[in-house]
Amino acid sequence: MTEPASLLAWIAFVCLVAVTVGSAVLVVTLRNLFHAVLALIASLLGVAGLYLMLLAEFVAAIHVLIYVGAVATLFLFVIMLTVRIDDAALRQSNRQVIPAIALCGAGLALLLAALLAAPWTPVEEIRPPGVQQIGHDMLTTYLLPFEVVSLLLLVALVGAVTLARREDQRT
Amino acid sequence: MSYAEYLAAIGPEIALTIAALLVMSIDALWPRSVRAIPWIGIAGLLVTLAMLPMFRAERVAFSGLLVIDPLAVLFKVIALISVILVALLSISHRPLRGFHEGEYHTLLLFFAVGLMFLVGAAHLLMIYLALEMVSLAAYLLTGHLKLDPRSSEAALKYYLFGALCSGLFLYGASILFGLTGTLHLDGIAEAVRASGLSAALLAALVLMLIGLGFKIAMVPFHLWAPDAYEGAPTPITALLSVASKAGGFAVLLRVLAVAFPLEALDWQPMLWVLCVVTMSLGNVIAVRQGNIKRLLAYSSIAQAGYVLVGVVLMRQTPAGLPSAMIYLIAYLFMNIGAFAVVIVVSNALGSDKIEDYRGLARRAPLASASLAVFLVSLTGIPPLAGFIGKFYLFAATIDAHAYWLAVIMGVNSVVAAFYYFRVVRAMYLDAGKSEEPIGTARPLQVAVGVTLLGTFVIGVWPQPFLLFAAALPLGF
Repeated sequence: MTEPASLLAWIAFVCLVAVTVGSAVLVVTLRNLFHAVLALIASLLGVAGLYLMLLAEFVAAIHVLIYVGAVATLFLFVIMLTVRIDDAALRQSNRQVIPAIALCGAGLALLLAALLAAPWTPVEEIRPPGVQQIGHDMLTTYLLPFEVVSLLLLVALVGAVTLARREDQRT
Repeated sequence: MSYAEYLAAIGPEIALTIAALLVMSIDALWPRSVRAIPWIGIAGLLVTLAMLPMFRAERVAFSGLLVIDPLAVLFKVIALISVILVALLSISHRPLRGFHEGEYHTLLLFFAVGLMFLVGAAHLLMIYLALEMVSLAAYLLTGHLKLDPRSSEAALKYYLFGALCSGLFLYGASILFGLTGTLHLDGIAEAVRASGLSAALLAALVLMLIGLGFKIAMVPFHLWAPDAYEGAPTPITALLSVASKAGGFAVLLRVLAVAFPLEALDWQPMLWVLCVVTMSLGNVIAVRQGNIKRLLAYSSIAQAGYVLVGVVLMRQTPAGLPSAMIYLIAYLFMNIGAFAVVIVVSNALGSDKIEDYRGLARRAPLASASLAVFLVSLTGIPPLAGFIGKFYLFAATIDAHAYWLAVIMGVNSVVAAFYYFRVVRAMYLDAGKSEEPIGTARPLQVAVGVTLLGTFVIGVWPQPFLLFAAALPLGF
């Protein structure tokens, strides 16, 4: 922690964590759902920053593209198209919020204690995987998962179309 | 490995995928052929089942991501038979008639494809993807009757609970990866043996158990099950209670037996508690149910508890794993059979209430007798499949000197007998409101016949199943 470079990295890390966790708290407490989604975008950008710090540029780029670009936009659409919830101030919590916080806090404390003491296996060499390397792995070592993902997406597609299709009310 | 060898390793899966795509395209291109669609799907499943023996060679494929060992093949057989039976049930289930049958059967086939990948997966990434594919198809099938609010509610609860549990599973898997530096189950085992027990390893195990416990509806991760089972179309209830659980058990077995060596982390006491709680709570709550689907939901939670007995003991006695597998096979036939009769009744009466089963024996003698056989078998009375399953589980507990487990299982069987026989009593001893006979559609007759045959054959002549199960290698 004495070198200036690692000090800078430390500061960047703390800032990113603050953005990620702070906006995540806002997501579950803000009363306006529209604002909650905006906070979610901030939180997801923070996560992308953490990926960048881990030298995973590709994951960071895809993360921004999919989560911030597609998923969050989808959320906004849903909120704007759902009649009742676009402007009202909603309570996001119910009476069980205090036991829930206590339980999650206890779980977090246990996990933190376990993870801080964990004998992690460090990665020997850090090589930022380029797009080329990822493409190569996807079609060799990870060929099967790559193909299974395509089937998974097909299932999601068929299901989404079936669920979203308008029905003539017959029942 | 060359691409040709890759293809040869997953021949049955490819065949089933082609069948699923075929069903999807036929439905899209010739909407009038809707009557033929389920049969095309069933034909595809049968072909896949017939292909399995040809691809039985023990091997590791796709750089260790997938293994094709006897255990995987056995689980694939269980998965395919249960999906075939569910497809038969779906043809005659009245609410499903003419309601997007093409999409329904496409999803059913993709569910089977996912399940086949799941039971052979030996790599955490592969396990996760296959688990998601199975879950996604299951959520969609549960909510398929979207005009029925109960079906949508069931799917929503199932989905929300499932999303949480799969997130926890992933978190556990990521901790495991951080500790061991690999996603291969056998690589994980080596690293775990070298590093020994740590709190983080325990956390990883607990988190992954939550994800898998959700799939097999293990208490306390069962909360979704009764509502999802009640609201889902009845054939899908059968699918969730048998095929989906079998998939969960396959992964649980592999993860526990391969990735977590006992000398590093003794998971047996934890699983012992979960197993006892699962069977006891399932049975106790089942006693009070008035809806047959809810009753069978809680009963299936308890049944999963019995299978867990074999899993708990699999490292203590060589009888552990075979007894769990035999119970699972017996459970497949008797549980799907029970749901088949539930569909017969709900088609005629439009009701799943147990009080409407009064006097059923006069209206539908064969269906009632079949349901009675399945329930008696679920109770574990000879000469039926359930008895053989329970017998070997008891033998395993005695062999492992786990006498408390045997006692708890015995008490549970008595409690279970109480609510199973309540249904039998309603059918045979109580007077019904009507005497009008109830007919059974042809596909349902076939399904009931096959499950009856399975229940009797395993009960009377279990040797082939025993020999096969006893030969299963535990080290995988």
